[in-house]
Amino acid sequence: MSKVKQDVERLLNKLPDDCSIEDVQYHLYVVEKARRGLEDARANGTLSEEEVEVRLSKWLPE
Amino acid sequence: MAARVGWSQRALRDVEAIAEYIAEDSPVYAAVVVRNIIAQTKMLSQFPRCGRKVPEFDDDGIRELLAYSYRIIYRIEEDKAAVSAFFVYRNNSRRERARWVESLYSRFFEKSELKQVRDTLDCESGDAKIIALVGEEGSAWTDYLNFFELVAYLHESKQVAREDVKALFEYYIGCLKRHRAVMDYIGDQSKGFKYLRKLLLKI
Repeated sequence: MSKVKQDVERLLNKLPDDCSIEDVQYHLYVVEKARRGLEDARANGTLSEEEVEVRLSKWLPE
Repeated sequence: MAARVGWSQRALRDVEAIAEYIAEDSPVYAAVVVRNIIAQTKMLSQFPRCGRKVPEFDDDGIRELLAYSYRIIYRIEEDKAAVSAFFVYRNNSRRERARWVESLYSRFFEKSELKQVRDTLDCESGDAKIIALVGEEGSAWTDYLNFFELVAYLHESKQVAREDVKALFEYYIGCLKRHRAVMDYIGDQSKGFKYLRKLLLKI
């Protein structure tokens, strides 16, 4: 079985029996988003906290 | 040793998008959310394992914190002790927060070394066992206090409400307060339990 199918199967087994389609979609979205974030960090490296604070400073009034 | 915290580019873009979206209605609230997210990720340098395991993954190294309506998902990288965070909206904040608090509670009761200290503290004040426990400063003792320092930090940074801390740990916090030697130890600034000292004044 492919890794993706295994992940989906494991996810479905963890959800309660009365879960909705929206619940399934939401948790799949989390898995996909987290996976992309991990790949991004691995492939492109990460920014330091200082760099992040500079980039976000426009949202933080003095 | 403090862990290095690294953000993926994607995580930063997510937060910028979140801030932009919120700022359309309220720049003030956008600043509050951004500040909270930054504060949460800063906490990771001190307590990299403080987040709960992400339930969607079967991986102890993938963890998350909550910042208002957002889940901050990060990975602990062993060699660099670094984390990369990214953010997803959570669809049911009350349920997610309840699960998060439950994971904290489980951690307290699952660790056998914490149980040993918990049992020792559950005695009358003035017991000689307490003087020995505090005086020896063993790893189980410091782990126990570090757990409560984490709980206190989570409360300070608004991850866990006072009511939750009270409901889950009031009895065990009472056990700490019961013993003069314990309170003197925590009160010693050189021991580094500054958040716990504040929490003990509130509960």
